Amino acid sequence: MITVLLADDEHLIRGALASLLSLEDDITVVAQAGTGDEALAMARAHHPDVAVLDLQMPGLDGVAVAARLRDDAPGCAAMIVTSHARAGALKRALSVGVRGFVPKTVSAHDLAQIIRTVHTGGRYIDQELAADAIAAGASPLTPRETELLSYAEDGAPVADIASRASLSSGTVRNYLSAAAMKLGAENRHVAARIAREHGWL
Amino acid sequence: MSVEDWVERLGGQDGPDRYRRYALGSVGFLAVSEIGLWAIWVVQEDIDALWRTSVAVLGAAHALIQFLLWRYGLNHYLATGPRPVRLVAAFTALTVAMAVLGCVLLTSGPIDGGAMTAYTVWLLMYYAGPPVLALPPRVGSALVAAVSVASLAGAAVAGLRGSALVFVISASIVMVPFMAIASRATGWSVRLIEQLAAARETQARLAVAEERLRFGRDLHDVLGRNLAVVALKSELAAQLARRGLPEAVEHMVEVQRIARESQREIRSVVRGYRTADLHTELAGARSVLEAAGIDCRIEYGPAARLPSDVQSALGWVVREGTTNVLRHAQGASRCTMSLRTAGPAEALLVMENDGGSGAPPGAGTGLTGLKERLAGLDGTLATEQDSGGHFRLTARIPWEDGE
Repeated sequence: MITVLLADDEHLIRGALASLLSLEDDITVVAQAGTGDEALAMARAHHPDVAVLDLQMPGLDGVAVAARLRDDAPGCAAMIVTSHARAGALKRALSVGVRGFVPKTVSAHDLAQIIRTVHTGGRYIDQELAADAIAAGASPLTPRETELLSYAEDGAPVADIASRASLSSGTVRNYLSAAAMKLGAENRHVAARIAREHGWL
Repeated sequence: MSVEDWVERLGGQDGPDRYRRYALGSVGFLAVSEIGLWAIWVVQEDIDALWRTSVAVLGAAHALIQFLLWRYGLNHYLATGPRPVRLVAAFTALTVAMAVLGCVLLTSGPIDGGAMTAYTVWLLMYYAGPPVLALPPRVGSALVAAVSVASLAGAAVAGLRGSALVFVISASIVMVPFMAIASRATGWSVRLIEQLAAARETQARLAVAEERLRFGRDLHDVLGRNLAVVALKSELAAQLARRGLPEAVEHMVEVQRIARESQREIRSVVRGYRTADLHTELAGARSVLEAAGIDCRIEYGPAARLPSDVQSALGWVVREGTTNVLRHAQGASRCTMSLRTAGPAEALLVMENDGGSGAPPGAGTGLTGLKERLAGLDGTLATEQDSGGHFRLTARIPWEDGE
């Protein structure tokens, strides 16, 4: 029997999916969660074999939950279900060891099949989501620009960024404005957001 | 406040705001230089303390008003402030007062022609800029010309003679128009920069709006019809179910099919707005593979020179091949993708990894679809796997390299 944790903030979808998965002979849904933090708590309490995580949830998102699960519950295989084709999400998910990445359009029957694949140690990445991530290309930012932009993300002033990076304020400003120009952003805050959305940070 | 904070403050955001601050900074420097010149003049001339103080105080006030007038004049020029008429009046009055003071000093004896020359030229030079920026160009030029001519005439009447007079007139003829023109040019360049920035912003907004319209239209085309069918069919199914009729199931299966199809169609609409060249696809594939911990090397070869249909077909190969590596080659730690020309008339894309394909041949790997796609361009696709788990995918497409 494969035990499954379902985390999705849309409870209609989660409920329907749980009912449909429970119809499969070899799958039991042992826990359901509506937020990332809840999912984490449920996973610690129930030790599911597979965690099926919605990408976008209040609080921690699916990838963040998967990253924590890797440390907290190593026996649990994490997979992400998403309705949004955000290019960056797949890369983030892969880098934290997520084993399945599927669109919400998947039918419950196929999802059950993918849960089995993931449970037996396989990896399942949806063809089209992968194509989206590939077509988004690689980051146009240099490693230095990426680093500085990630410091700028939480709204830190240039002076703070400069001291964190051990650079002068003027140099930091030059890097950040180069990054903003590459991303077509009017300032560093917008640039950081764009880069984050593309998964470049 | 630390130095960094000041740098942050002065630098601030990029673009027009910064340019405007720099322009203001450079005219601010003019005011500082005026104070400096008056200080030198006051120290060098051997005159009474009263005269000395008068020139120092008036000169400092002149420099200060000069700066204020630059600032408010620029604001007015850029249509972000009222016309600083009173400041222009004060500046003019102060200039005239200083010119009169110079004449008095010359006639009553404490200064000679040389000192008067520098005094008058500096006064008129610093006066000439701001009024032409703050006032309409004709009015400003007329005012500056009138004040200059009057001051020069006053100096002549007060006893400035010979080469000193010639020098002061010729220097004024050069410096006064120069400052007036530089002043307009400064304002004009700041305005131009701001207009360019605004135009760029408008253009971007328009493009976004247009895209949104197109997107909305497409989405409506795709979804509107399907949702209507879903509503109708599920209503029918509910009615049938109430009557205990088994056809309800068929209708619900149909609803399910339509809903899934709509989801696919939405995604293809979204995808339709995205075009990527082969170079981008290769770089994107590498970034995805590296996220999964697979070391990836790319040889771009002639990627950029390939015609778009070849690029798009090979882009499919890259996406499909990459997804296969992610899905099936779990043990892979290394992957290479190289694009080359093979012989005189062929482009060759080879993808290799050390994790094997893992998949049973032809089983849902999408390779069959790829073969068909490549066949449309007379291309071929071949895969081979050795016993060491080394997997290689080779796509060939006929292509005449024009270079």
